[in-house]
Amino acid sequence: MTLDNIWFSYGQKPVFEGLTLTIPDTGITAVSGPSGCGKTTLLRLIKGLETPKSGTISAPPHNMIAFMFQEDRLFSGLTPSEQIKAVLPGGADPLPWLSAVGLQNEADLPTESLSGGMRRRVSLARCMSYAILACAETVCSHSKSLMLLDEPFTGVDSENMRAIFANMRQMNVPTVLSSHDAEVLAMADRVIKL
Amino acid sequence: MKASTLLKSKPIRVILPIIFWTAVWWAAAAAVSAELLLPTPYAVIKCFFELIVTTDFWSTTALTIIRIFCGAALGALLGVILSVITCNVSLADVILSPAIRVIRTVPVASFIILVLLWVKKGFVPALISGLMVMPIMWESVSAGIKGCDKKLLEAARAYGMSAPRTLQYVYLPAVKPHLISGVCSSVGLAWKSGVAAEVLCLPKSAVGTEIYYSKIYLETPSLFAWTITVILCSLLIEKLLLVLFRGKTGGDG
Repeated sequence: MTLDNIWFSYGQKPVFEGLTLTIPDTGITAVSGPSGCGKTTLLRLIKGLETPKSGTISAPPHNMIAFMFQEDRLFSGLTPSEQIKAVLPGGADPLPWLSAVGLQNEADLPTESLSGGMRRRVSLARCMSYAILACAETVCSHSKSLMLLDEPFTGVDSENMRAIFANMRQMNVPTVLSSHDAEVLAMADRVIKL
Repeated sequence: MKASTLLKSKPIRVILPIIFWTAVWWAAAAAVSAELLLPTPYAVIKCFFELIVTTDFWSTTALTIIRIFCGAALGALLGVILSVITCNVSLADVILSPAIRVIRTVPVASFIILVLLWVKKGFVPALISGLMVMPIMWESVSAGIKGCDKKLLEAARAYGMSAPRTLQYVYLPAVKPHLISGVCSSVGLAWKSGVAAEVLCLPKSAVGTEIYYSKIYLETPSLFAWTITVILCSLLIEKLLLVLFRGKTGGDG
């Protein structure tokens, strides 16, 4: 996917001034940079949550893009299983996705009782399941789904992170994630520095 | 046992004020010495127990409860519908919100007399209860809708959630505590204003009508007994609501 001559600002504060970028649509691409450089904004522009002042973005249709926010943004009063079922077509089984992030034993616990790292993993499992199952409902022959993850491993320990990364590779969904964690950047296929 | 510890005991906190104020009442009745003005607690309790063994008492009380409950329920529903409309349609908000606030500030007695001019007297108590409940529910539910987490709404859009799913997973959990709070706040007002409307409109088989005729016929013990009925019904309704909503008022973060 490409971003061509993107201009974007929040009010009077410029974020991108003529940004041009090509991101391969295979593998896992990490976006790094200091705080405030626009990592989150880049992902939001690709997903269509923000609109650039000028420039063009060539990316899969918005309903083919699974987006994981920097905050967990989990729905109130639901268990991890229910968090995933809430965004998927009816009848989908959430357990394989919770297993992919190491939370198969916490599937039916109240989300509020989980640690910060566990809640992050629930959010990631929700995004991963959406990338495969929900996007599959709208697959057309020339479009791939895409996963955009904003700081997906905040609060997640190294062991779980490595296991989840391996599961993400097996999904074979092009992924762009933002991070400033050196271990995450090392595991990605390529790193784009803003 | 220290007095301060004793006073923290729940049975003591219930029984002691009843004993105290009954004693004050008895002393006052003895001082006034005129049952027409202030009957003794004994006379009132005796009258109350004479009433409750009659089928008329129970049918009258039940009809008042049904009348007021139906009016309050419809008022609550209207309040919820109006809050959804005013929160989503700016023009409706501009036009309707001031009118709803005016309804809330108009004295109950003014409303009762006005409505009596336009509506059959049998419907007035229900209508008045509904009019008292509607603005409270409107305000409570509006606060819930406006306080809905914008980030969760964005997440719902990002995940392509349908309107029914967004309602179920984002709006309803946000609105529920406000809805419950609105119901608890308004039920007492609905009950009192409904009975007040009955006193002024005199529908058949109504607690308010019995209160009015007790006054007309100078049956002060009966007046007190029916007033105790109103108080007991109010306490019962509050208890039922507490049981119904126990553990459902907290939102999950």
